[in-house]
Amino acid sequence: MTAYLIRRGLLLVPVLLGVSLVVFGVMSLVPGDPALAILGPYATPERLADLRVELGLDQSWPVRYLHWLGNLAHGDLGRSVSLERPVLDTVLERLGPTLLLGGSALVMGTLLGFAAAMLAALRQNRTADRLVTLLVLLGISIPSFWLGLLLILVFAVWLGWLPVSGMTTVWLPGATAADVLRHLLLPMLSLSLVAAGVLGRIGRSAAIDVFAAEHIRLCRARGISERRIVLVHGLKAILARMAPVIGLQAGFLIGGAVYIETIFQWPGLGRMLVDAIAARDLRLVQGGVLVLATAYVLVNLAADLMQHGLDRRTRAA
Amino acid sequence: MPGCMDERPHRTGLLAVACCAVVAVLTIPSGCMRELPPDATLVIAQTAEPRSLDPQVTTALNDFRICANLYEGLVHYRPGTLEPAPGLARDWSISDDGRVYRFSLRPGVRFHDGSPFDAEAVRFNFQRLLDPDHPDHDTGPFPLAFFFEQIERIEVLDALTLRFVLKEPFAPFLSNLAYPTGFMVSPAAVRRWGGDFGRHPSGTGPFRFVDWQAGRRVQLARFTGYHGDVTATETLIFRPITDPMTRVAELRAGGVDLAFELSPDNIAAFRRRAGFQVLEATGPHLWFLILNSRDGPLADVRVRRALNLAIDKQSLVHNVLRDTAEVASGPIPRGFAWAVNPSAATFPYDPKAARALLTEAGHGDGLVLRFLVPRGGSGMLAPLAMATAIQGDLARVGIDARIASYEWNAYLARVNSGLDPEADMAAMAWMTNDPDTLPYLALRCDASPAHGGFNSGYYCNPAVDALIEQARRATRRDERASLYRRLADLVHQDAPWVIIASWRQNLVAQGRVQGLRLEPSFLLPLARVRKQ
Repeated sequence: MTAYLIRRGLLLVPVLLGVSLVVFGVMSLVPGDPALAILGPYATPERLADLRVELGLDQSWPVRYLHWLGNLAHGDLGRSVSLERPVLDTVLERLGPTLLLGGSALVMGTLLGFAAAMLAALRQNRTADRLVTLLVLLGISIPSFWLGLLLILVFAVWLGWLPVSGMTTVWLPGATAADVLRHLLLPMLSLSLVAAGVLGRIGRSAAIDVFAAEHIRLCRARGISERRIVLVHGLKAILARMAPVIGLQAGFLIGGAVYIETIFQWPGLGRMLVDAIAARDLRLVQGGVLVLATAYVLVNLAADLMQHGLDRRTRAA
Repeated sequence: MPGCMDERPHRTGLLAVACCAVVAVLTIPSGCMRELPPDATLVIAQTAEPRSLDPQVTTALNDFRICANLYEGLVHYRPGTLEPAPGLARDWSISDDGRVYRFSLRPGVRFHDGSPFDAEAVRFNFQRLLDPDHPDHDTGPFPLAFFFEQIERIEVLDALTLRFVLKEPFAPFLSNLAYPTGFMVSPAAVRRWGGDFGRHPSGTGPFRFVDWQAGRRVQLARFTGYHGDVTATETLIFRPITDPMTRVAELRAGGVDLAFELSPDNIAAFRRRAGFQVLEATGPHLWFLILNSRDGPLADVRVRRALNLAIDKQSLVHNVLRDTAEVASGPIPRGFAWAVNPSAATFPYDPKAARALLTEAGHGDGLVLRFLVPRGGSGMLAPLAMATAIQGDLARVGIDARIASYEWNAYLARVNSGLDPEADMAAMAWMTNDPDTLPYLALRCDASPAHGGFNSGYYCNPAVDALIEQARRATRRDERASLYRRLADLVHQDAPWVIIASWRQNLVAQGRVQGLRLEPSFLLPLARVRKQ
């Protein structure tokens, strides 16, 4: 187990190196000039040239990449040119809200997806199954940004039950948990319903397989109550099969957060990245992507470990 | 074999508990009423996260709106105009040769951090901006420092009197002082915070800085030590809401009191909706086409005039921009009312006359023009939609305009370095703070990109240059005004650009917000604004 953890931990390094290299390369190919973005339309070629030297943009991108890596080794992500402050401060400040939104959406999506999957599998080919399958299909096909706008219109504009956007009520001095929860609900729902759809669909077939499996039949033969079979033995086996899918959903949630955070003005990394890309703020994009990629890899590692813990067959392997 | 019997006590309740939690979370808010900002708080929806609240560092209108409440300049724009009026300076005098400006400062003014505002503070501000050897020059970069590069030296005569000596007469000096780049920052705060001053701003304005939560809000509170009229509004909260649909939803839900830059369709909807007010102001903005006066078919003035006659500006403004802009008449935006002749000659929409001019110039059907357009960008309005409409107008007179579109930053790099012989025309937009700025930077012979200017179409008329120079040196405003009117007439004859439109800034506010007015400077002073 420890050896496995160490091996997976070491694998993180080449993955992150690869991600950062790709981002750096792509951002260098994208047209647009950070110096121009800073100086604005008044920029004269002369002042642009000066600022480019100041920002190190006169060097080739591989050189700049190595330089960036060198600084990274000292924990220095550089300074954001569009926000005039250290990248690390900004990224850390934005990480919390993104983890809160993504994490709660993942939990909510998993719960809803499992509930749907179990219901559909236990009532296979009956009305409940068909209804759930339809809802699941809707969840998969509705784009989450559209759903977000719809939820805003209904719950915030028409009914006035929940706030439209933001993470806290801006005119209150401090944030209370209840206040954050009220702001969290709509973006979390818009984000989680897609994940719930995917998990519900895959979970249904997994559940059908599991309930037909030998060890479940054996349990039945031993006279264990149906309730216990479903909730303990069944759920555990399904969870083990679903763990990698949940891990993958975390990736989609992180991607989805980019536009959900924009619509709901959630002060997270996704929105920061959109702004940073528009401003051609390479260092900020790098910092943000690095953190998101790390989170993605870690969540998938956790999912694998969960599968490990739940399924003895993978443990033996 | 998996064992069934050796399981620990079951966790049957787990799913049920989880379901209950979800239901509980969902029902918490259903009992809550709509929450609105308190009466003494104004919540303003901005279009972007601020970059810096150092008025000399930032160039974004978005940041200027906040800065206009934190800071003041020696002079400010008289409300509703772009005319300089006394601000932190009570009065001033200008020497006959236009090179020496003597200001006497308002006594008893303090910065928010408690330090006094005096002549030394003024000198500090301009030295930080202009002197590379100044210890606080590294708190920049200061992109608009060139507004003040005419300053040769600053002489402090006593605590409340000082003199600016300019290298040469420079009439836009007062307008530039009224612009945010001329706002006075607290020297003590700059020394304390260094490069982080932009996140810990301190000025002399009616509101002081409270906090800045990234991505959430910038909060200002009424400055009790303010030297001017005190407002009823205690708190200003600027929220960055980048998505225009979200700004609309927040306005409708009552979560913000005012919001900027909504789409034309939404503006129209708010006009019909009770409980909201829609404000518009045309500012010193100009949207125009740069024509290549040096190479290709547009080197012929007849073809340039034909283009001016062929484009239906009224229809562009009404149908494409849905009246969020107005037709512009000359190289100086009408926002500078004093410098513009309201009855100056303009090009009417006259496709027949355009065709006649084209035929006269030897171009029948099928003149191909290469037309550069950005896909978006500061002040560019709806560049692609506008370019397509222009393309249609030109097709009607037999011109085949071929659009090449670019991402904004790449576009600026290409156009600001001068149109190459392959490029015939390019869309451009400018926002300025003095009638001098745009002609000086973009219409003089010497303002070609090779000389660091923005005359990307290589227009050159020595008579125009002479007028610009004269107007810069004139210290009397009526004299300047008549020079700018003559300049506009010359530019009209030479048609180096197709001047299309001036943007109207829009703002939608809740009906109970009183005292709002949109300034032609596009700044947003909120000291006199309150909710009923």
